Amino acid sequence: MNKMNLSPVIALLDSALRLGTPIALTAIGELIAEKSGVVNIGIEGIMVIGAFASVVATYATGDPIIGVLVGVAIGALLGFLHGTLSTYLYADQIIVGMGIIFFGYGITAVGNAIIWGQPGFSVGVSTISHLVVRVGEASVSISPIFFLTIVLAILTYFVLKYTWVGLRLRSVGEDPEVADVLGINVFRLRLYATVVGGALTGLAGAYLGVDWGGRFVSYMSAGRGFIALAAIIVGGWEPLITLLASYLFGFFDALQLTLAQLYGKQVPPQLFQMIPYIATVVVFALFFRKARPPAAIARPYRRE
Amino acid sequence: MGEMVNIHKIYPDGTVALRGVNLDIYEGEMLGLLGENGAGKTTLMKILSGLLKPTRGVIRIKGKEVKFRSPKDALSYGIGMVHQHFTLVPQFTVLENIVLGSEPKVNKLMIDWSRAEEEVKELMKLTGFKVDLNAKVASLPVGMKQMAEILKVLYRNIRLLILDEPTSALTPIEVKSFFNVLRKLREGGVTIVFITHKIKEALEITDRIVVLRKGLVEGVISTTEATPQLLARMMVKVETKPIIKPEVSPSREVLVVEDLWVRGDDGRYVVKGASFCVREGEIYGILGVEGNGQKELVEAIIGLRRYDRGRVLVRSNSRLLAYVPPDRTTEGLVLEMPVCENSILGIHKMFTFGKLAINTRKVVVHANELVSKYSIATPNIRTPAKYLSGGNQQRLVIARELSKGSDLLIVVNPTRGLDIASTNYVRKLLVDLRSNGKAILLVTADVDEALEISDRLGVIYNGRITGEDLAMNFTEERLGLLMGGALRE
Repeated sequence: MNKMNLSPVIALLDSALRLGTPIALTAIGELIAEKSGVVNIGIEGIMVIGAFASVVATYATGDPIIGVLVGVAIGALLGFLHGTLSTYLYADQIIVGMGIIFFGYGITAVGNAIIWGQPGFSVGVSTISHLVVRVGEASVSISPIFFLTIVLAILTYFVLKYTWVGLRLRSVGEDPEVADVLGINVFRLRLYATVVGGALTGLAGAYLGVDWGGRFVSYMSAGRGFIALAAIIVGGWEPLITLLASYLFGFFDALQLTLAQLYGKQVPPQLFQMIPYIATVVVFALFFRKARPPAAIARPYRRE
Repeated sequence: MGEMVNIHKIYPDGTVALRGVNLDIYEGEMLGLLGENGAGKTTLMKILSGLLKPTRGVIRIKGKEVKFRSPKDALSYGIGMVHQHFTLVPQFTVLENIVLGSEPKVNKLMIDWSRAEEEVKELMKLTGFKVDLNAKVASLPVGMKQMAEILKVLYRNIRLLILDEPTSALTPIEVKSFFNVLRKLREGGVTIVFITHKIKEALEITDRIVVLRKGLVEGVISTTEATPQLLARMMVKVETKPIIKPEVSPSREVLVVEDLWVRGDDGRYVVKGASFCVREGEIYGILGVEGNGQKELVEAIIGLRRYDRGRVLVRSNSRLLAYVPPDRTTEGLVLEMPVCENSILGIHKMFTFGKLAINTRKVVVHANELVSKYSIATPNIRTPAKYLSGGNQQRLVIARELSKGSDLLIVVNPTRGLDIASTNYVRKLLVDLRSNGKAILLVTADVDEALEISDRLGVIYNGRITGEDLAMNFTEERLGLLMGGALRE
């Protein structure tokens, strides 16, 4: 980690990847759930719990890989909770999601204080090792989770578009009545989609915990779950465009931080903080316009 | 090949749809299921296709008793139904819709799209259908959707094809080629059940006709022996006598509709030159099987829908429109709101201080007045409308509309789903209003209702008033022929 050697452009890109990855992972996961007709705004809470769980597991075992796996498992479990409530039990998906968010903020803050005896942040734990790539004179370290994110996005695109699982998943998100008549199990498919969504969000949380920072900080999801929801909309429910939107947001966020570092004394930093939001919206308003959510999104399916 | 024995169906809301129907379906035949609204045709076939469970009764396929828990079960016996309302995913392509749920696979995961396309093309060759398989369903005209729907069912290797009013969305030319397809399918060994209310179609295409009426089989007849008159008499039976009404000589025309042309949601004309007038002191009934343009006609009259040609003249004393919509729960009332607030919807400006704030005391007085005048049974006027019974909800709607003081009243299916006491109350109320000089347009699918309270009656079929006369001059046969489209006067 000798950032001093990096040229400013490469530093900016490096930072963009780090800032974009948790958003991208969460967005891809949530996209899968939304394609099946389930909106889980609880991803913000799942992310913070995933981060916390991964740090705790790493702290206990010393192995950040186990931390990541635990983060994914906890995410899947919370996805299962949300999925069960919002399919088989017809719960209001937004209310369940809100519940998970506040549960997440609360349980992690309390858990942190109990385990490490201090509020706010944990002790440092080891992080997963990065790949070091040489770029001319400079070298950048890239997280394996970044590559995994790209692979998962492409895989999601592929499964949704070309496989029977994807076709059926989309059909229950578009028109569950029709799918049911054709013998497709709407409830089960929606539950599976939400579990996968939770697992990817848990992975995003683990990325924050044992890749990026190496410690847990209260509220460290910092609204990224909501940004992921926005990235899906901006990406028009297309996995690859959503991926692009997430990293574009990451890029403008990195730019904002760099600018704030350079000119923060002369200009109020709040002005810079607006950049990622405005820029992402502008870019996509210009280039991608056809956004249409799945027709049955957020609507619990009830058999007559 | 199939047999339904003593089928009863009572819906959860208490509606009795079938009261013991026996039906035999022979291998390779084209069976017509004829009847007017509420006869139970669709319910019976939804049971056979596994979408509904019968309350009582037995289904046998090839002599073996079966119990269908879902349409998938019925499909596994080779029974498939094409519903009147399409069961297609609009955002999917035609091919995606056809294979959904029975996708051919290359391996465990991948769909074999080329095989799917080949198989569907084979089906298209067999049926003569031409549909762009890669077009999004949402972008297709209705006729194409119909074909996609049928291909979807055929793709599942069905032996018994049930079609629910399949021609309602087709133009006459499309109907012709569609019938040829059906004949070809029958030659290919597919058994077909054809649900319709159109006498002409039943006579043209079927081998045998079963007439249903009010949840019972009225008669079974071989098509070669059937005549339009015979079928019309079987379809329509009048069971009530007209209410005795005091003599009023209608004078002033309050509503005049001249040569009205209105398009449906899909852009085709569904009202094709309707003309009639409603005068002071009369009930003018428009009677027809649903889906013949009544909905669009009424919407055009009340201003919910544009019309392309013709005129609507209202010579009413009031700017306000008194309209009792067909569905009291979605269009007539805001169910979550209390009775008192529902009682001023649309006329709320008459209950304000200045221009903004609602004058609650005035509202309460008004609501209590309506409740007592029309004997609306409600715990109190603060009760949400959803807790009232259907009959009392309808009374509330009618009461509110009448309080607008207009001398024209438009009512659509005013007694649908009401019990006998409420039905009688509503009908008598309408007659009283008419005797006091109101002009009432009654749009209904209920033959008894139309004959019982209308002074004059127009029968609507395929967007036109095909017969108009004093209500008392209609015979059952004439009504049956007109409603079934076998007669145009």
